[in-house]
Amino acid sequence: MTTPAAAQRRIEAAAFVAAVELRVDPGSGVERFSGPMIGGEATLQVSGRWALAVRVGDGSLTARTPGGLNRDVGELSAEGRVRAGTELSFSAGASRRVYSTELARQRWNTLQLGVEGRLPFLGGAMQAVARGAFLPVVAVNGLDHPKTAYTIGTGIEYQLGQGAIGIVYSLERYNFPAKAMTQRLEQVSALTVRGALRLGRGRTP
Amino acid sequence: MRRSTLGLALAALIAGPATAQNSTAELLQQAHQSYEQVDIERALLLLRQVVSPSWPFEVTAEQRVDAYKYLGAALALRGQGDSAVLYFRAALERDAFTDLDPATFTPVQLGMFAQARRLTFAVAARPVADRRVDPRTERVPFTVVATHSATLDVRLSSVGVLAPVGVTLFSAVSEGLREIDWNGLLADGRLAPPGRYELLVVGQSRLRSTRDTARTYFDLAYDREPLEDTLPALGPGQLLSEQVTDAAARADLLKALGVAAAAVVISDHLTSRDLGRGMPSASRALAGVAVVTGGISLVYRRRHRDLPENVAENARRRAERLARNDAILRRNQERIARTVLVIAPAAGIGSPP
Repeated sequence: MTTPAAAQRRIEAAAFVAAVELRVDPGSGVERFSGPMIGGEATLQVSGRWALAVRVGDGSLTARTPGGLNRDVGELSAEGRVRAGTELSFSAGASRRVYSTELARQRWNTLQLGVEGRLPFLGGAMQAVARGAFLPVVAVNGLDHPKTAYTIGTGIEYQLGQGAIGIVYSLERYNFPAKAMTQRLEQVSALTVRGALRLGRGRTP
Repeated sequence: MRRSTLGLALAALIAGPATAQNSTAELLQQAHQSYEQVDIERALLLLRQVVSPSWPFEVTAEQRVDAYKYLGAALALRGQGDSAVLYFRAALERDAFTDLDPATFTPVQLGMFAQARRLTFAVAARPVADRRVDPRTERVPFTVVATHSATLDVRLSSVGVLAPVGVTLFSAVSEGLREIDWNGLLADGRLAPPGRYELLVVGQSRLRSTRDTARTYFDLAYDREPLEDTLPALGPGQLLSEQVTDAAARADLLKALGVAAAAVVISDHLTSRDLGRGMPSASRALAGVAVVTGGISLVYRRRHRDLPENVAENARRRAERLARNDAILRRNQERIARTVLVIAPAAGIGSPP
Protein backbone atom coordinates (compact mmCIF):
# COMPACT_ATOMS: atom_id res chain seq x y z
CA MET A 1 0.00 0.00 0.00
CA THR A 2 1.34 3.43 -0.94
CA THR A 3 1.51 5.95 1.86
CA PRO A 4 0.72 9.60 1.12
CA ALA A 5 4.35 10.56 1.70
CA ALA A 6 5.54 7.86 -0.65
CA ALA A 7 2.99 8.95 -3.20
CA GLN A 8 4.53 12.41 -3.19
CA ARG A 9 8.02 11.09 -3.87
CA ARG A 10 8.41 11.09 -7.61
CA ILE A 11 11.37 10.90 -9.87
CA GLU A 12 11.93 12.79 -13.06
CA ALA A 13 14.61 11.61 -15.45
CA ALA A 14 15.88 14.00 -18.06
CA ALA A 15 18.44 14.06 -20.83
CA PHE A 16 19.81 17.12 -22.51
CA VAL A 17 21.90 18.13 -25.43
CA ALA A 18 23.41 21.55 -25.63
CA ALA A 19 25.35 23.74 -27.99
CA VAL A 20 27.94 25.44 -25.83
CA GLU A 21 30.23 28.33 -26.47
CA LEU A 22 33.02 29.29 -24.10
CA ARG A 23 34.75 32.62 -24.42
CA VAL A 24 37.81 33.37 -22.36
CA ASP A 25 39.96 36.45 -22.21
CA PRO A 26 42.95 35.71 -19.99
CA GLY A 27 44.19 39.23 -20.67
CA SER A 28 45.84 38.47 -23.94
CA GLY A 29 42.83 38.38 -26.21
CA VAL A 30 39.59 36.50 -26.60
CA GLU A 31 39.72 32.77 -27.09
CA ARG A 32 36.58 31.07 -28.28
CA PHE A 33 35.56 27.43 -27.92
CA SER A 34 32.36 25.75 -28.87
CA GLY A 35 30.92 22.33 -29.19
CA PRO A 36 28.21 19.96 -28.05
CA MET A 37 27.51 18.78 -24.60
CA ILE A 38 25.21 16.00 -23.48
CA GLY A 39 24.08 14.88 -20.11
CA GLY A 40 21.37 13.71 -17.84
CA GLU A 41 19.52 14.82 -14.82
CA ALA A 42 17.53 13.06 -12.13
CA THR A 43 15.13 14.92 -9.89
CA LEU A 44 13.58 13.44 -6.79
CA GLN A 45 10.44 15.18 -5.68
CA VAL A 46 10.74 14.77 -1.92
CA SER A 47 7.44 16.41 -1.07
CA GLY A 48 4.95 18.74 -2.64
CA ARG A 49 7.45 21.61 -2.34
CA TRP A 50 10.90 20.14 -2.00
CA ALA A 51 13.01 18.47 -4.65
CA LEU A 52 16.58 17.30 -5.03
CA ALA A 53 18.32 17.18 -8.39
CA VAL A 54 21.58 15.71 -9.64
CA ARG A 55 22.97 16.58 -13.05
CA VAL A 56 25.89 15.27 -15.04
CA GLY A 57 27.16 16.51 -18.34
CA ASP A 58 30.01 15.90 -20.70
CA GLY A 59 31.13 17.73 -23.80
CA SER A 60 33.89 18.55 -26.15
CA LEU A 61 34.74 22.12 -27.02
CA THR A 62 36.69 22.90 -30.10
CA ALA A 63 38.96 25.93 -30.24
CA ARG A 64 37.61 28.48 -32.70
CA THR A 65 40.48 30.88 -32.43
CA PRO A 66 44.04 30.31 -33.61
CA GLY A 67 46.39 28.92 -30.99
CA GLY A 68 43.66 27.59 -28.79
CA LEU A 69 43.63 24.07 -27.40
CA ASN A 70 40.56 21.91 -27.70
CA ARG A 71 39.17 21.00 -24.36
CA ASP A 72 36.77 18.52 -22.89
CA VAL A 73 34.33 19.58 -20.27
CA GLY A 74 32.70 17.47 -17.61
CA GLU A 75 30.28 18.63 -15.00
CA LEU A 76 28.55 17.23 -11.93
CA SER A 77 26.12 19.27 -9.89
CA ALA A 78 23.54 18.80 -7.19
CA GLU A 79 20.94 21.19 -5.92
CA GLY A 80 17.91 21.43 -3.69
CA ARG A 81 14.81 23.27 -4.82
CA VAL A 82 11.83 24.58 -2.96
CA ARG A 83 8.68 25.84 -4.57
CA ALA A 84 7.21 29.10 -3.36
CA GLY A 85 3.80 29.13 -4.94
CA THR A 86 2.97 27.65 -8.27
CA GLU A 87 5.17 29.87 -10.38
CA LEU A 88 8.30 30.47 -8.35
CA SER A 89 11.02 28.28 -6.88
CA PHE A 90 14.32 28.83 -5.16
CA SER A 91 17.37 26.62 -5.30
CA ALA A 92 20.73 26.14 -3.68
CA GLY A 93 23.41 23.84 -5.03
CA ALA A 94 26.99 22.99 -5.71
CA SER A 95 28.72 21.97 -8.88
CA ARG A 96 32.07 20.79 -10.07
CA ARG A 97 33.16 21.44 -13.62
CA VAL A 98 36.42 20.27 -15.14
CA TYR A 99 38.02 21.58 -18.35
CA SER A 100 40.68 19.23 -19.68
CA THR A 101 43.22 19.94 -22.36
CA GLU A 102 46.24 17.99 -23.48
CA LEU A 103 48.33 20.11 -21.17
CA ALA A 104 46.28 20.83 -18.10
CA ARG A 105 43.12 20.34 -16.19
CA GLN A 106 41.15 23.19 -14.67
CA ARG A 107 38.65 22.48 -11.90
CA TRP A 108 35.75 24.80 -11.11
CA ASN A 109 33.94 24.30 -7.84
CA THR A 110 30.94 26.58 -7.34
CA LEU A 111 28.10 27.16 -4.97
CA GLN A 112 25.00 28.81 -6.33
CA LEU A 113 21.79 30.36 -5.07
CA GLY A 114 19.12 30.55 -7.70
CA VAL A 115 15.56 31.53 -8.47
CA GLU A 116 13.32 30.28 -11.23
CA GLY A 117 9.99 31.62 -12.45
CA ARG A 118 7.56 29.78 -14.65
CA LEU A 119 4.60 31.42 -16.38
CA PRO A 120 2.11 28.95 -17.78
CA PHE A 121 0.37 29.60 -21.02
CA LEU A 122 -1.79 27.77 -23.49
CA GLY A 123 -3.75 26.45 -20.54
CA GLY A 124 -0.62 25.15 -18.85
CA ALA A 125 0.53 23.10 -21.81
CA MET A 126 3.52 25.39 -22.10
CA GLN A 127 5.56 27.37 -19.67
CA ALA A 128 7.76 30.39 -20.13
CA VAL A 129 10.83 29.85 -18.00
CA ALA A 130 13.20 32.45 -16.60
CA ARG A 131 15.98 31.63 -14.20
CA GLY A 132 18.97 33.22 -12.64
CA ALA A 133 21.56 32.33 -10.05
CA PHE A 134 24.14 34.13 -8.04
CA LEU A 135 27.40 32.22 -7.54
CA PRO A 136 28.83 33.37 -4.23
CA VAL A 137 31.61 30.81 -4.25
CA VAL A 138 33.64 30.02 -7.33
CA ALA A 139 36.90 28.25 -6.69
CA VAL A 140 39.13 27.68 -9.73
CA ASN A 141 42.55 26.18 -9.38
CA GLY A 142 45.21 28.66 -10.30
CA LEU A 143 42.83 31.63 -10.29
CA ASP A 144 41.48 34.07 -7.74
CA HIS A 145 37.83 34.13 -6.88
CA PRO A 146 35.89 36.07 -9.53
CA LYS A 147 34.46 39.45 -8.59
CA THR A 148 31.31 38.77 -10.51
CA ALA A 149 29.76 35.40 -11.15
CA TYR A 150 26.22 34.72 -12.17
CA THR A 151 24.15 32.75 -14.57
CA ILE A 152 20.93 33.72 -16.28
CA GLY A 153 18.66 32.02 -18.77
CA THR A 154 15.27 31.91 -20.40
CA GLY A 155 13.30 29.44 -22.42
CA ILE A 156 10.11 27.59 -23.11
CA GLU A 157 9.00 24.21 -21.90
CA TYR A 158 6.30 22.08 -23.47
CA GLN A 159 4.34 19.63 -21.35
CA LEU A 160 3.52 16.38 -23.11
CA GLY A 161 1.64 14.07 -20.79
CA GLN A 162 4.19 12.61 -18.40
CA GLY A 163 6.99 14.18 -20.35
CA ALA A 164 8.30 17.60 -21.11
CA ILE A 165 10.55 19.14 -23.71
CA GLY A 166 12.27 22.41 -23.07
CA ILE A 167 14.62 24.74 -24.87
CA VAL A 168 16.63 27.22 -22.84
CA TYR A 169 19.20 29.83 -23.72
CA SER A 170 21.60 30.52 -20.84
CA LEU A 171 24.61 32.63 -20.07
CA GLU A 172 27.29 32.32 -17.40
CA ARG A 173 29.60 35.19 -16.65
CA TYR A 174 32.75 35.30 -14.56
CA ASN A 175 34.77 38.48 -14.09
CA PHE A 176 38.01 37.79 -12.26
CA PRO A 177 39.85 40.55 -10.44
CA ALA A 178 42.42 42.48 -12.42
CA LYS A 179 45.95 41.38 -11.89
CA ALA A 180 49.04 43.09 -13.30
CA MET A 181 46.92 45.38 -15.45
CA THR A 182 45.06 42.47 -16.95
CA GLN A 183 41.67 41.04 -16.15
CA ARG A 184 40.49 37.53 -16.87
CA LEU A 185 36.95 37.24 -18.19
CA GLU A 186 35.03 34.09 -18.97
CA GLN A 187 31.62 33.57 -20.47
CA VAL A 188 29.69 30.40 -21.26
CA SER A 189 26.66 30.57 -23.54
CA ALA A 190 24.49 27.56 -24.20
CA LEU A 191 21.37 26.60 -26.03
CA THR A 192 20.05 23.50 -24.32
CA VAL A 193 17.31 21.18 -25.45
CA ARG A 194 16.11 19.02 -22.61
CA GLY A 195 13.64 16.15 -22.55
CA ALA A 196 12.21 14.88 -19.30
CA LEU A 197 10.01 12.00 -18.27
CA ARG A 198 8.20 11.78 -14.99
CA LEU A 199 8.20 8.40 -13.35
CA GLY A 200 5.12 8.54 -11.18
CA ARG A 201 2.24 10.92 -10.89
CA GLY A 202 2.47 14.61 -10.36
CA ARG A 203 3.77 17.79 -11.81
CA THR A 204 7.23 18.64 -12.88
CA PRO A 205 8.97 20.07 -9.82
CA MET B 1 -76.13 54.00 52.45
CA ARG B 2 -76.89 53.67 56.10
CA ARG B 3 -77.78 50.03 55.59
CA SER B 4 -74.50 49.40 53.80
CA THR B 5 -72.49 51.05 56.54
CA LEU B 6 -74.35 49.06 59.10
CA GLY B 7 -73.60 45.88 57.18
CA LEU B 8 -69.95 46.67 57.03
CA ALA B 9 -69.86 47.32 60.74
CA LEU B 10 -71.70 44.09 61.37
CA ALA B 11 -69.33 42.18 59.11
CA ALA B 12 -66.36 43.58 60.95
CA LEU B 13 -67.97 42.66 64.26
CA ILE B 14 -68.66 39.10 63.13
CA ALA B 15 -65.30 38.60 61.53
CA GLY B 16 -63.35 39.28 64.68
CA PRO B 17 -60.32 41.44 65.36
CA ALA B 18 -59.82 44.15 62.77
CA THR B 19 -56.21 43.36 62.10
CA ALA B 20 -57.02 39.90 60.81
CA GLN B 21 -60.25 40.67 59.06
CA ASN B 22 -59.66 43.76 57.06
CA SER B 23 -58.82 41.90 53.93
CA THR B 24 -60.99 40.44 51.22
CA ALA B 25 -59.32 37.07 51.45
CA GLU B 26 -60.09 36.77 55.12
CA LEU B 27 -63.67 37.74 54.56
CA LEU B 28 -64.06 35.26 51.72
CA GLN B 29 -62.60 32.54 53.88
CA GLN B 30 -65.09 33.39 56.58
CA ALA B 31 -67.86 33.30 54.02
CA HIS B 32 -66.75 29.86 52.76
CA GLN B 33 -66.74 28.53 56.30
CA SER B 34 -70.20 29.92 56.95
CA TYR B 35 -71.44 28.41 53.68
CA GLU B 36 -70.00 25.00 54.52
CA GLN B 37 -71.59 25.20 57.94
CA VAL B 38 -74.87 25.97 56.15
CA ASP B 39 -74.96 29.34 57.84
CA ILE B 40 -76.34 30.80 54.65
CA GLU B 41 -77.43 34.11 56.03
CA ARG B 42 -74.04 34.89 57.43
CA ALA B 43 -72.35 33.71 54.26
CA LEU B 44 -74.62 35.94 52.16
CA LEU B 45 -73.88 38.87 54.40
CA LEU B 46 -70.14 38.43 54.06
CA LEU B 47 -70.23 37.79 50.32
CA ARG B 48 -72.37 40.84 49.64
CA GLN B 49 -69.81 42.93 51.45
CA VAL B 50 -67.12 41.68 49.15
CA VAL B 51 -69.03 42.62 45.99
CA SER B 52 -70.35 45.84 47.43
CA PRO B 53 -69.00 49.06 45.90
CA SER B 54 -68.56 50.28 49.46
CA TRP B 55 -66.09 47.56 50.36
CA PRO B 56 -62.94 49.51 51.10
CA PHE B 57 -60.39 46.85 50.28
CA GLU B 58 -59.04 45.66 47.02
CA VAL B 59 -60.93 42.79 45.40
CA THR B 60 -59.16 40.78 42.77
CA ALA B 61 -60.98 39.45 39.73
CA GLU B 62 -60.68 35.91 41.07
CA GLN B 63 -62.06 36.95 44.47
CA ARG B 64 -64.95 38.74 42.84
CA VAL B 65 -65.77 35.74 40.70
CA ASP B 66 -65.55 33.50 43.76
CA ALA B 67 -67.87 35.81 45.66
CA TYR B 68 -70.42 35.83 42.82
CA LYS B 69 -70.25 32.07 42.55
CA TYR B 70 -70.90 31.51 46.23
CA LEU B 71 -73.56 34.17 46.26
CA GLY B 72 -75.31 32.28 43.50
CA ALA B 73 -74.88 29.01 45.32
CA ALA B 74 -76.15 30.46 48.61
CA LEU B 75 -79.16 32.09 46.96
CA ALA B 76 -79.94 28.84 45.16
CA LEU B 77 -80.08 27.11 48.54
CA ARG B 78 -82.46 29.80 49.72
CA GLY B 79 -84.69 29.14 46.75
CA GLN B 80 -84.03 32.45 45.10
CA GLY B 81 -83.45 30.96 41.71
CA ASP B 82 -83.52 34.11 39.59
CA SER B 83 -81.06 35.89 41.84
CA ALA B 84 -78.85 32.81 41.94
CA VAL B 85 -78.77 32.68 38.15
CA LEU B 86 -77.93 36.37 37.98
CA TYR B 87 -74.92 35.93 40.27
CA PHE B 88 -73.81 32.81 38.44
CA ARG B 89 -73.98 34.80 35.20
CA ALA B 90 -71.99 37.57 36.77
CA ALA B 91 -69.32 35.02 37.68
CA LEU B 92 -69.35 33.50 34.19
CA GLU B 93 -69.17 36.85 32.46
CA ARG B 94 -66.02 37.64 34.41
CA ASP B 95 -64.50 34.21 34.10
CA ALA B 96 -65.85 31.75 31.62
CA PHE B 97 -63.84 29.02 33.35
CA THR B 98 -66.09 29.31 36.42
CA ASP B 99 -67.58 25.95 37.27
CA LEU B 100 -69.34 24.17 40.08
CA ASP B 101 -67.99 20.89 41.40
CA PRO B 102 -70.83 18.32 41.21
CA ALA B 103 -69.39 16.61 44.28
CA THR B 104 -69.69 19.79 46.35
CA PHE B 105 -72.79 21.54 45.05
CA THR B 106 -76.38 20.28 44.96
CA PRO B 107 -78.27 19.32 41.80
CA VAL B 108 -80.43 22.40 42.20
CA GLN B 109 -77.35 24.62 42.29
CA LEU B 110 -75.91 22.78 39.33
CA GLY B 111 -79.16 23.21 37.43
CA MET B 112 -79.25 26.92 38.07
CA PHE B 113 -75.61 27.21 37.11
CA ALA B 114 -76.38 25.36 33.88
CA GLN B 115 -79.20 27.81 33.23
CA ALA B 116 -76.80 30.68 33.80
CA ARG B 117 -74.43 29.14 31.29
CA ARG B 118 -77.13 28.89 28.69
CA LEU B 119 -78.03 32.54 29.22
CA THR B 120 -74.46 33.77 29.20
CA PHE B 121 -72.04 33.46 26.36
CA ALA B 122 -68.35 33.88 26.96
CA VAL B 123 -65.19 32.25 25.75
CA ALA B 124 -61.82 32.25 27.46
CA ALA B 125 -58.32 30.88 27.08
CA ARG B 126 -56.27 29.95 30.08
CA PRO B 127 -52.92 31.78 30.28
CA VAL B 128 -50.06 29.62 29.04
CA ALA B 129 -47.80 28.33 31.78
CA ASP B 130 -44.01 28.24 31.67
CA ARG B 131 -42.87 24.97 30.18
CA ARG B 132 -40.31 23.23 27.99
CA VAL B 133 -41.65 21.05 25.24
CA ASP B 134 -39.84 18.58 23.03
CA PRO B 135 -42.03 18.70 19.91
CA ARG B 136 -40.93 15.20 18.92
CA THR B 137 -42.66 13.64 21.91
CA GLU B 138 -44.62 16.35 23.67
CA ARG B 139 -47.29 18.92 22.92
CA VAL B 140 -48.05 22.42 24.07
CA PRO B 141 -51.45 22.28 25.83
CA PHE B 142 -53.92 25.14 25.56
CA THR B 143 -57.14 25.21 27.54
CA VAL B 144 -60.11 27.10 26.17
CA VAL B 145 -63.69 27.24 27.27
CA ALA B 146 -67.09 28.26 25.96
CA THR B 147 -69.91 28.67 28.43
CA HIS B 148 -72.33 26.85 26.14
CA SER B 149 -72.46 25.21 22.75
CA ALA B 150 -70.65 27.37 20.23
CA THR B 151 -68.71 27.30 17.02
CA LEU B 152 -65.19 27.78 18.25
CA ASP B 153 -62.17 28.92 16.24
CA VAL B 154 -58.86 28.74 17.98
CA ARG B 155 -55.99 30.26 16.02
CA LEU B 156 -52.36 30.83 16.86
CA SER B 157 -50.71 33.83 15.22
CA SER B 158 -47.39 35.56 15.45
CA VAL B 159 -47.43 39.12 16.74
CA GLY B 160 -44.88 41.87 17.20
CA VAL B 161 -41.78 41.84 15.05
CA LEU B 162 -42.29 38.37 13.63
CA ALA B 163 -43.45 37.97 10.07
CA PRO B 164 -47.13 37.03 10.16
CA VAL B 165 -47.50 33.29 10.49
CA GLY B 166 -50.31 31.33 11.96
CA VAL B 167 -52.03 28.05 12.33
CA THR B 168 -55.60 27.10 13.13
CA LEU B 169 -55.65 24.76 16.09
CA PHE B 170 -59.36 24.13 16.37
CA SER B 171 -62.44 24.96 14.36
CA ALA B 172 -65.58 23.10 15.36
CA VAL B 173 -68.54 23.09 17.68
CA SER B 174 -67.54 22.92 21.31
CA GLU B 175 -69.06 23.37 24.72
CA GLY B 176 -67.39 23.79 28.07
CA LEU B 177 -63.75 23.11 28.69
CA ARG B 178 -61.53 21.94 25.82
CA GLU B 179 -57.89 20.95 25.84
CA ILE B 180 -56.12 21.67 22.56
CA ASP B 181 -52.65 20.31 21.95
CA TRP B 182 -50.20 22.04 19.64
CA ASN B 183 -47.22 20.21 18.21
CA GLY B 184 -45.19 23.37 17.73
CA LEU B 185 -45.53 23.29 13.94
CA LEU B 186 -47.04 25.72 11.52
CA ALA B 187 -49.34 24.75 8.69
CA ASP B 188 -46.36 24.14 6.39
CA GLY B 189 -44.94 21.59 8.79
CA ARG B 190 -42.09 23.77 10.01
CA LEU B 191 -41.38 24.60 13.60
CA ALA B 192 -42.93 27.90 14.58
CA PRO B 193 -40.21 30.55 14.65
CA PRO B 194 -39.21 32.04 17.99
CA GLY B 195 -41.15 35.12 19.01
CA ARG B 196 -44.36 36.29 20.56
CA TYR B 197 -47.63 34.57 19.75
CA GLU B 198 -51.28 35.26 20.33
CA LEU B 199 -53.81 32.53 20.95
CA LEU B 200 -57.09 33.91 19.72
CA VAL B 201 -60.36 32.22 20.63
CA VAL B 202 -63.40 33.31 18.67
CA GLY B 203 -66.73 31.83 19.67
CA GLN B 204 -70.13 32.13 18.02
CA SER B 205 -72.94 31.01 20.29
CA ARG B 206 -75.25 28.37 18.86
CA LEU B 207 -78.00 29.31 21.30
CA ARG B 208 -77.88 33.06 21.00
CA SER B 209 -76.73 35.50 18.40
CA THR B 210 -73.74 36.37 20.48
CA ARG B 211 -70.10 36.34 19.67
CA ASP B 212 -67.13 36.56 22.00
CA THR B 213 -63.38 36.54 21.71
CA ALA B 214 -60.53 35.91 24.09
CA ARG B 215 -56.78 36.22 23.74
CA THR B 216 -53.75 35.06 25.56
CA TYR B 217 -50.12 35.69 24.71
CA PHE B 218 -46.94 33.77 25.14
CA ASP B 219 -43.32 33.88 24.07
CA LEU B 220 -41.78 30.99 22.22
CA ALA B 221 -38.04 30.44 22.22
CA TYR B 222 -35.75 27.67 21.02
CA ASP B 223 -33.29 25.78 23.11
CA ARG B 224 -30.92 24.11 20.69
CA GLU B 225 -27.38 24.13 19.36
CA PRO B 226 -26.72 27.10 17.05
CA LEU B 227 -27.26 26.37 13.38
CA GLU B 228 -24.38 26.57 10.91
CA ASP B 229 -24.45 28.93 7.97
CA THR B 230 -24.34 27.29 4.58
CA LEU B 231 -21.54 28.23 2.21
CA PRO B 232 -22.33 31.16 -0.07
CA ALA B 233 -22.59 30.69 -3.81
CA LEU B 234 -19.23 30.54 -5.55
CA GLY B 235 -18.26 33.99 -6.71
CA PRO B 236 -16.42 34.95 -9.89
CA GLY B 237 -13.12 34.84 -8.02
CA GLN B 238 -13.71 31.27 -6.92
CA LEU B 239 -14.45 29.84 -10.34
CA LEU B 240 -12.06 29.39 -13.20
CA SER B 241 -12.75 30.93 -16.54
CA GLU B 242 -14.41 28.30 -18.71
CA GLN B 243 -13.52 30.03 -21.95
CA VAL B 244 -10.37 31.66 -23.15
CA THR B 245 -10.72 35.39 -23.42
CA ASP B 246 -9.00 37.52 -26.02
CA ALA B 247 -7.03 39.10 -23.21
CA ALA B 248 -5.79 35.68 -22.04
CA ALA B 249 -4.83 34.74 -25.60
CA ARG B 250 -2.92 37.99 -25.97
CA ALA B 251 -1.27 37.46 -22.60
CA ASP B 252 0.01 34.09 -23.81
CA LEU B 253 1.48 35.77 -26.88
CA LEU B 254 3.10 38.40 -24.69
CA LYS B 255 4.67 35.72 -22.50
CA ALA B 256 6.19 34.05 -25.53
CA LEU B 257 7.38 37.39 -26.88
CA GLY B 258 8.84 38.07 -23.45
CA VAL B 259 10.92 34.92 -23.66
CA ALA B 260 12.10 35.91 -27.14
CA ALA B 261 13.03 39.39 -26.02
CA ALA B 262 14.77 38.12 -22.90
CA ALA B 263 16.90 35.71 -24.93
CA VAL B 264 18.03 38.51 -27.22
CA VAL B 265 18.69 40.87 -24.33
CA ILE B 266 20.77 38.24 -22.53
CA SER B 267 22.92 37.43 -25.53
CA ASP B 268 23.32 40.99 -26.72
CA HIS B 269 23.38 43.09 -23.57
CA LEU B 270 24.25 40.95 -20.60
CA THR B 271 27.30 39.45 -22.16
CA SER B 272 30.71 41.00 -21.68
CA ARG B 273 31.55 43.77 -24.11
CA ASP B 274 35.13 42.57 -24.11
CA LEU B 275 34.18 39.00 -24.86
CA GLY B 276 31.44 39.79 -27.33
CA ARG B 277 27.95 38.46 -27.71
CA GLY B 278 27.36 34.92 -26.60
CA MET B 279 25.95 32.71 -29.31
CA PRO B 280 23.61 35.32 -30.77
CA SER B 281 22.39 32.82 -33.31
CA ALA B 282 21.30 30.52 -30.46
CA SER B 283 19.44 33.28 -28.69
CA ARG B 284 17.72 34.18 -31.94
CA ALA B 285 16.85 30.59 -32.55
CA LEU B 286 15.16 30.46 -29.18
CA ALA B 287 13.50 33.81 -29.88
CA GLY B 288 12.18 32.41 -33.13
CA VAL B 289 10.83 29.34 -31.42
CA ALA B 290 9.19 31.52 -28.82
CA VAL B 291 7.60 33.84 -31.38
CA VAL B 292 6.29 30.92 -33.42
CA THR B 293 5.02 29.26 -30.26
CA GLY B 294 3.30 32.46 -29.17
CA GLY B 295 1.69 32.88 -32.58
CA ILE B 296 0.47 29.31 -32.65
CA SER B 297 -0.81 29.72 -29.12
CA LEU B 298 -2.72 32.88 -30.04
CA VAL B 299 -4.35 31.28 -33.07
CA TYR B 300 -5.10 28.05 -31.22
CA ARG B 301 -6.59 29.83 -28.24
CA ARG B 302 -8.84 31.92 -30.44
CA ARG B 303 -10.06 28.87 -32.29
CA HIS B 304 -10.41 26.64 -29.26
CA ARG B 305 -11.90 28.80 -26.57
CA ASP B 306 -13.37 26.08 -24.41
CA LEU B 307 -11.34 25.10 -21.39
CA PRO B 308 -12.62 21.62 -20.51
CA GLU B 309 -10.20 21.30 -17.59
CA ASN B 310 -11.59 24.46 -16.07
CA VAL B 311 -15.15 23.36 -16.74
CA ALA B 312 -14.40 20.08 -14.96
CA GLU B 313 -12.66 21.90 -12.10
CA ASN B 314 -15.57 24.29 -11.70
CA ALA B 315 -17.97 21.37 -11.67
CA ARG B 316 -15.83 19.74 -9.00
CA ARG B 317 -15.83 22.90 -6.90
CA ARG B 318 -19.59 23.28 -7.27
CA ALA B 319 -20.13 19.66 -6.34
CA GLU B 320 -17.84 20.05 -3.34
CA ARG B 321 -19.74 23.13 -2.19
CA LEU B 322 -23.03 21.33 -2.70
CA ALA B 323 -21.83 18.34 -0.71
CA ARG B 324 -20.60 20.55 2.12
CA ASN B 325 -23.88 22.47 2.15
CA ASP B 326 -25.79 19.21 2.17
CA ALA B 327 -23.76 18.11 5.18
CA ILE B 328 -24.41 21.44 6.91
CA LEU B 329 -28.12 21.20 6.15
CA ARG B 330 -28.15 17.64 7.45
CA ARG B 331 -26.46 18.68 10.68
CA ASN B 332 -28.83 21.63 11.00
CA GLN B 333 -31.82 19.36 10.45
CA GLU B 334 -30.57 17.11 13.21
CA ARG B 335 -30.22 20.12 15.50
CA ILE B 336 -33.65 21.39 14.52
CA ALA B 337 -35.08 17.98 15.23
CA ARG B 338 -33.62 18.17 18.72
CA THR B 339 -35.05 21.67 19.32
CA VAL B 340 -36.82 22.15 22.60
CA LEU B 341 -39.53 24.81 22.65
CA VAL B 342 -39.40 27.10 25.64
CA ILE B 343 -42.81 28.62 26.37
CA ALA B 344 -43.31 31.58 28.68
CA PRO B 345 -46.47 33.63 29.28
CA ALA B 346 -46.47 37.17 27.92
CA ALA B 347 -48.45 40.30 28.71
CA GLY B 348 -49.56 41.32 25.24
CA ILE B 349 -48.36 42.09 21.76
CA GLY B 350 -45.22 43.69 23.06
CA SER B 351 -43.71 47.00 23.93
CA PRO B 352 -44.43 49.96 21.59
CA PRO B 353 -41.87 50.60 18.88
